[in-house]
Amino acid sequence: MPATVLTSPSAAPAPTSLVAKLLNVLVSPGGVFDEVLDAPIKMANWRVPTLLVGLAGIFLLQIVGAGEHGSAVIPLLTGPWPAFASEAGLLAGGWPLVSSVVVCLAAFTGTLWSAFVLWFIGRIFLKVRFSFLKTLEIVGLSGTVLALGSLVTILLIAASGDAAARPSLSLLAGKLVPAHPVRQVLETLNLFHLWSAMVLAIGLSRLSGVSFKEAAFWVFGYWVLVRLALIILA
Amino acid sequence: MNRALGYLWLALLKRRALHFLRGLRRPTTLLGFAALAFFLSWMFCLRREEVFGQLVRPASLVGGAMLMLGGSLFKGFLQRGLVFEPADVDFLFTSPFTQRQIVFYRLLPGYLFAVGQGLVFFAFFVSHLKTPIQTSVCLMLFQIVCFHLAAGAAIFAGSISEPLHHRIRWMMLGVYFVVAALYLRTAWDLKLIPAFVSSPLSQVFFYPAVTLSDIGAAPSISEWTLRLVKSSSFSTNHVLQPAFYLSVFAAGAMASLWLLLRFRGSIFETAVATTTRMAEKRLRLQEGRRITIAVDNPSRSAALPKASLFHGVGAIVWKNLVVASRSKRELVLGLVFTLIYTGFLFALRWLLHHQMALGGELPAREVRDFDRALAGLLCFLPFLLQRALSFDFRRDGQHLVGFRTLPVSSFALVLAELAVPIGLCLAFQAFGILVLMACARYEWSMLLLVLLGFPAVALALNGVWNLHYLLAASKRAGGKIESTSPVGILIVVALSFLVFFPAGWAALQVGRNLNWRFSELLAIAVWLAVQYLVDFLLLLALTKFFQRFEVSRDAC
Repeated sequence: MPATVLTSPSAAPAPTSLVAKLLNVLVSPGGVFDEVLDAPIKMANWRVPTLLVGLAGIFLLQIVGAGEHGSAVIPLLTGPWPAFASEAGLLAGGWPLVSSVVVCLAAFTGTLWSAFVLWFIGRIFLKVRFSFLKTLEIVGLSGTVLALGSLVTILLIAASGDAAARPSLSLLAGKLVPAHPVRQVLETLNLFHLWSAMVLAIGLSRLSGVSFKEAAFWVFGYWVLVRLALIILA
Repeated sequence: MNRALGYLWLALLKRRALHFLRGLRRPTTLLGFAALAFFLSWMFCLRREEVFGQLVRPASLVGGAMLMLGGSLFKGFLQRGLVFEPADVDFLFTSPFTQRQIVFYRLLPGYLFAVGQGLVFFAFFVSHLKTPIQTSVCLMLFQIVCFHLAAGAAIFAGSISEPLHHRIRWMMLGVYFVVAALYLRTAWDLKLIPAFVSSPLSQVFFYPAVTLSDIGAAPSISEWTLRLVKSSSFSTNHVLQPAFYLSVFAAGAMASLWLLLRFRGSIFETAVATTTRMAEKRLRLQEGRRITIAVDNPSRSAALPKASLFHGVGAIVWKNLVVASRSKRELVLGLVFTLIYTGFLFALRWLLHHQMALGGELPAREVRDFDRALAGLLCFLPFLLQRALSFDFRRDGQHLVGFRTLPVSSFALVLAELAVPIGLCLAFQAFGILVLMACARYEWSMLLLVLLGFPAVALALNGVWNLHYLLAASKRAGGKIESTSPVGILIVVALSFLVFFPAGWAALQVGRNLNWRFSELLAIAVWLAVQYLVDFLLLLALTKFFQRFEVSRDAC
């Protein structure tokens, strides 16, 4: 991280590198977003972090898959013995590749979708026009939190030996199966998910020029409350 | 509360009550009031039914309370400021009253409404509540709270900027949506959200607040992988096919948009013309005139009729026939209505025929009753045709005074005015019966009933709509601004049904009380007699209002 340089209040902040932005967004997202909004559109600002998120996701997936996939999912799909061994073998061979592709696709699709949601909130609900590509950059940079979350989850799994361990309140519900609604609700209250939502709220606030509280209403409303409501109602 | 304001409110309340009572002298107002009173009385008679008990279940009450609370808050917020009468603005705002006193004065009608609502609630639900008085008082107080909230929201909304108002409005709607979905799920077990939205794959919609490994480890991914490695081939047919259709339609939409945007030509002049035309239409609607603007198309003159039927007052019939023959759009509209409605009835009959052909059994008597019911449903057709076939007083608003100078009786003129729409209604109904007869059998007695009953129905419906028009026209002529308000239309619609109540009630009484071989026949005869009597009274009322129209015009 570059050292902070004291300048006069009127002077524009010096442009930082992409790596610096990725690190600064964890500690000072507002400053990073201000800088991004002032600068011309730079596609690397969302492509690189999204790729990073995809790679971190794949890494996490291999850790998780080694623990829970073979023991829990395969019997459900392949049925009882004797088909179990052959089909489990087939699944173990193909699954890592397919799931990795899916994770990468999910990262890019998710980035585009979230940018659209933010842009839509601004355009319709806040009645403010801003660039979709700038929104994409902000969402992409927010993904750094997710990448960090993946690394922390890996460490947590390694420490606890439980493939279902997450840095969320679900740690308190160890006996509940993953599909249980209560567990899903508790998993939604993930530290890194809330952090991501907070960063997105700051981003929306900077993009639209509305107060942080107002932006937080929409971002937390969608990324946390609606998600919780969907889990409960479905 | 200022005593002067209290006195003012009481005085205005008394004046409005007297004005309302005086308004009951007008037949439509009286009939509208009677219809409402009849409805409430009917509800009161049924108050011990189970359905009323369901309405005061805790889940229903909570839902109602949420609706009241949310509705009043949103309504107040949309108002952006308290609504006063113009006279109140002139008088109160310049008088030495404090803001609190004025706000309280504004709330007084709400308090009265809350008391009335509490009393009605008590009357209807007393038999289903353990503590009816306490519940009714609580409801009354809750309604008052809602009024307070609405007023507060209105004042607050008036003090904020337009963009902020817009944003908060959306916030409220979003919260209401989530709360409503939660309420329906918990109180009524209504699942609005499908189960798949909580699946791991759908979590991608909440990126970056997701755990990507959950998406990759989703059971559906594993299932898909297994299918892939088993078949050793990568088949995306089930994905590509919908994607192909979607892309075709999306390409079509994009191409049409591209063509539209490339269209060269000034849109502004046409837009101005259209806007002016729409404004003119709106004005005409408010003034009770035809929406369609007459254009100077060179219609050929119709030859004078030679038949004696069209001499004297029959000339009005001839004139309306000419108008109808020149109103092809309305006739086509009427025909379309008839085809849709008759097609629906025909489909019902054909469905019965089809089910019976597949082996379904139904006694001959029930089949006959079903066919009769279908023919009876055709009675509603004139109701649908009222706005399309208005070749009567409704087209002669500017000539009504001139008609009074004709050397014919008012009653005969009213009959002549109604003749064309009634005739057209009957023609369309006859078409419907002919279509139904293709798959249903009607004995001669039924056909006779149709022959006698349909004119009575058409006469009554056209009579009600013309009565409403004449009343509105006489008001306009008297200088009172009267627009075709939704409430007015609602009253006319209610009257259109109410006008059949006396005949139906009398026929039912006769049918129930006379246990005789010909009681059914007698009931039908009573229905016809009473209905024609009602029609006659309607015609008399029309005659009376047609005569009054001249007086109103002179007074103006």
